[in-house]
Parts: sequence; structure tokens; C-alpha cells
Amino acid sequence: MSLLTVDSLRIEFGPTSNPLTAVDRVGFSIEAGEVVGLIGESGSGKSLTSRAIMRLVSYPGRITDGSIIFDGRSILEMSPRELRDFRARDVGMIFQDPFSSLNPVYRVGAQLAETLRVNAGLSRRAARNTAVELLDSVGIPDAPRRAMSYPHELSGGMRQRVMIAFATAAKPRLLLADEPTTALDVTTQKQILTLLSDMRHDNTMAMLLVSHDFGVIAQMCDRVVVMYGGRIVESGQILDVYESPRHPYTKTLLASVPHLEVGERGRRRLIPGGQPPQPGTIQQGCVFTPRCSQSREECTRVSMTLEPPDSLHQSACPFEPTSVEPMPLPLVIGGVT
Amino acid sequence: MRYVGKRVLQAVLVLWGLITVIFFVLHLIPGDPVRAVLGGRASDATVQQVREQLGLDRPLPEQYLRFLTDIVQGNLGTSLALNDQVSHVLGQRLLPSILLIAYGMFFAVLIGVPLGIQAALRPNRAADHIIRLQTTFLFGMPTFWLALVLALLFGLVLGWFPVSGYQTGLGGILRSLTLPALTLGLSLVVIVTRTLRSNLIEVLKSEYIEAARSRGLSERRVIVKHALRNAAMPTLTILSTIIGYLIGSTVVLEQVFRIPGAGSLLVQSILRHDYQTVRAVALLSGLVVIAAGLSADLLQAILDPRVRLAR
Repeated sequence: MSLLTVDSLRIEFGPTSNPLTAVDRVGFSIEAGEVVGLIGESGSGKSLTSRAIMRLVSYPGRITDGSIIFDGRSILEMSPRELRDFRARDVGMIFQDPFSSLNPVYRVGAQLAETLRVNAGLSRRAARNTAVELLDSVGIPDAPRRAMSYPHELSGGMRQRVMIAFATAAKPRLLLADEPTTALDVTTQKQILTLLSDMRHDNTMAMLLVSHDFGVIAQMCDRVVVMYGGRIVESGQILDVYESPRHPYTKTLLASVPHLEVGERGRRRLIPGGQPPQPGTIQQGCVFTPRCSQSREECTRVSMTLEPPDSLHQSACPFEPTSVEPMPLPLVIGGVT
Repeated sequence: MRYVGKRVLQAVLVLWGLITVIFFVLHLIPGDPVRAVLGGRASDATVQQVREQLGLDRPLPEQYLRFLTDIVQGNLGTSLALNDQVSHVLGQRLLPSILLIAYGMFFAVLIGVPLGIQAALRPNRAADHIIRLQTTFLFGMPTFWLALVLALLFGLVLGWFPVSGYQTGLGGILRSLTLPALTLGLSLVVIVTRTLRSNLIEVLKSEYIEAARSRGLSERRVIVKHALRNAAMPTLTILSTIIGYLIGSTVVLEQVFRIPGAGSLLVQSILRHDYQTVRAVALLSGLVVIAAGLSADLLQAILDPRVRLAR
């Protein structure tokens, strides 16, 4: 049994009579210790999906359909008490913006100690000591002094390290990382990814890495799930998807990643047709049709089921992929897009 | 520390400006204060004698300088009408007013904060609308009218609190101040509720709140410990700026409830043309407003470490 199974998840906004669907029929699973990437543009529903796993979809958004099962327990049916225990022990989350994910009015050590006191039942003194140890373990130099700092006194990389200390304090079995390096510069980005990699190996922790950056996903993940317009368009082992993308969206997304080898002569092929769709009423057919270079008449009638079933590499496009030029894996971490 | 020093210096400068304005405003008022106090039948010689006694015959800059030094030394002058030191008269009337304002603030916070939290947790739902309607209604009611309604209900019908007068002893003071303070508090609830609501809604959207929830902290802890402290600061600032409005309200409330405070002293002094006392009350009100602003700023610096960085 998988550690986490998300099945036909739907997240809606707006009035119940005429809802706007932001995430629709999303399903995937994560095995124990596995790292799965969730990639898509802004507004593709990837962040919402990761928040849904913690039941952190906030009003006016709501989960209206589907199930999320963690280790045999249904997250959507948990009582407030169970949900708190689940968040406190089984799963950790780090956020995109380390500048706003720490409470500005408390010292970082005190915030960490509070969590330890409440969740692990430590005494004040023990919590303070453990907080310093945790800060030390995520590579914060001079941890005893740094614990006394306020968030605004730390650099972005430091704050993200603090967030990682928070998220991994309880040794969770699953870590949700929502664009953990997007707000950081390239050097810090690499350090944070290395730290996440180490943490996961040391603690045999599964991870859902949400990113819009294929470079980050390629470096970190075993498998990747590609989202567009609130739907999953393709999923598979990272190399399979990379080397032979089957959905036209994945193909254009990969083609838009800049490559060092191509140099100045190379031109990035951009996704045609402007903007990704806004959350709206559920439409018939494939959500990518308006921007797809290979769209045809039948596209407005396809069901977007991931095919073939029970395969590791699935696509929501029922048509045979046209030939693609082989795409080398990018050497840089984090595209300069 | 640098921040504190800067704010204190600012407050002192504003105070100096206030003293200057008060000095000149009273000189701009038409009519002779001495004649007004002594009455139309006083002889020119008597008027002249009192003028000299008060230093009103001296050139304006000299009067101003004397006024300034007197204030610094705590000398507020002598009331012609009461034939007593103004500082002495004022000292007796100050405590009820200060207690009234503090007690009113207490009611405003006691009622307003839970309502503001309630409204922010489910914005634009029924409870939010009801809270908005009720508090705005209370705010819109004229103070004297609200005071009379409360006096009628809690004083005459239920008989819980005295309707008028000022009793002694801590229990007596609290009892006699409850209705005027409640009036003051109720009219303020809307300000506390509305500012807290909008700030709390913003704060609750922030990522550190989501992060706190993601750690499995209880909703109560998230709101009270993590959200409220951040959301309270603008409310605090607004409360400190409406101190002036509160002082104005005490004038009416002390009349309605017959509280012997600075507000009723002001009314009596105006009717008696007692310029010395009016001037002192005005000065003191200004001082209270400045002090309230200063303490709100300092409190904010304690609550939010980032404020201390402001230059």
C-alpha cells in the first residue's frame, strides 16, 4: 500500500451553485521514501493540491470530491484532533516564501520551541535545547545565537533552513515542499536542495516537491506528475517523462527550459496561446486544447483519463505523440527562466 | 533605544506646539476675560488691578514666556472664579475622568476583541453582518441618548447600577462609573471590531499562519498567539488616536451621569468664563492625547521587533 494516495481530488471556489473548479480529478500516489515532483505553471493547481494533503485549503476554497489516504487513514474524514496529530507527527510542510512563513514577532528559536512543547510535550528548557539542536542540524552556524534572532534578522536561505527544521522536527514520513527554492538565489537554492536531499536520506522520508522548475524536479525526484489547468496531464518516472514526453503540454513545457548546451543560437519554444486557464466551470474535453499546437476536433470530447492504466508512464492525451527531438537533461540547477 | 528617544523628542515638540497654540487661542478670543469674570459693574480701577495681578498688562512675548515657565513648573495659575489654584481644582476632578476613560476602553476591548475575532473567522457570513450592523448602530447613537437608554435599562428597570452621582471607595467608584463607561465602551466597540476584523483577515491569510497550522498547532493557539499579536497593532494605534474623541465624550457623559470629573469641570468653567481653568483642561487633554500616542508607539515597539528598526 502506498504511503499517500490522492484520488479524484476536486477543489472548488466561489458559490456552491456555480462553483469555479481549480483542481479536478487529480489522483496520484507516493510510496514510502519516494520523492515525487509536482510540476506546472502558476495557477495549474499544484500548490492547492499539496495544501489539500494537509487539509490546508482555506476558505473560500474547499475540497468537494475525492479522497486522500495517508497510511490507511482518510485525511478528509479526520476529526480536528486527529488532523492536528497528523499535521504534528506524520507530515511536514515547507513554503515558497521563507520571508513570510515565519511569524515576524517571535524569535525563531522560541517559535520552534513552541512547536516542540505543544507537539512533543517537551518542557520549556528541553524544548529550547532541542530547538537549538534542530537549528544546528539544518546547517545554521552559531545556532544558539541564531535561535535568539527574529526572522527579519536572517537571510532567505537561513529562514528556509529554519522552516526545514520546523517541518522535519517530528521526523515525519512525508514532507510537502511547495516551491522551496523559488524565492532563493541560485547558490542558496542548491544548498537547500542538498539539505533536503540529505534530510530525506537520513530520515527515510517521502517528499512531494512542488515546483515550476524542471531542473529542480529532475535533480530531486524519482517520479514526476505534470499538472495543467487543474488536471494531471502526464505522470511517470522522471527519465521517461523527460526523454519521451507523451502529452503535448509536457513537450512544450520541456522545450521551454533553457539549456546551456544550446547556447545563444538556441531559441526557446514558448507555449502558444498566452495564458493558462483560470479556474472555471468544468469544460468538456482537454483543458490544453486552446493552446495545443496539435489540437484537433476530437480534443473537445476527450475525457483526459490517464492512459494506459496501471502503467508507470501515463498521459491524458489519447493521441500518439508526434516525434520530438531528444532533450538533454539540463545541467544547471534551477532554470534561469 | 534610539527609536524610543526619537519618539519622546517628537512628543515633547508636539507638546510645546500645543502649549503655544493654547496660549494664543485664548488671546484671540474676543472680550476681556477680566471684565467677564468681574462682571459689568466692576470699576476700571479694579479691572486694571486684576490685569496687573495676572500679568495681562505685560507685552505678549513676556506673557508667553511666563506661561511656558509656569507650565514647566506645574503652575497652572489661579482661577478667578473659584479663587483657588487651578492645579488644586483640577487635581480633585482628574481621577474620575481618567478612570472613566480607562474603564470605557476596557469595555470596548472586552466586547470588541471577541466580536472582531468572530467576524474575521467567518467574514461576510451572517454573524459578521449582524456584528457590523449592531456595532455601527451603537456608534451612530448620540452619546447622551445611549447613556439615557443604558441608565433607564440597567439603572432604573434592573436597578444594578446607580444612575447618577459619584460614590466613594473602590467598589463605589466602579459601580458609579459602570454605566458611563459602558456607554463609552459600546460606542467604541465598532472601531475595535472593524479594525481588528480587517487586520485579522489579512493576517490570517499570511503564510506564517498557514505554516503554524501545518505544524499541528490548535486553531485557538494559532489565532491567539500567532495572529492576534500581529493584528492588534493597528487597532492599538487607532485606539490611541481616538483618545481625543473619548475626552470629548466624557464631557457629555459626566454631565448626564453627574460625575464630578474634568469634563464637567470644563463645562462649568466655560459657563463661568473661567479662562484659567478652561486653558488648563485644554492643555491637559492635549497632554493626555500626546501621551497616549507615545505609549501606543512604545507598546508597538515592544510587540513588533521590526518597529524598533524604523528610523
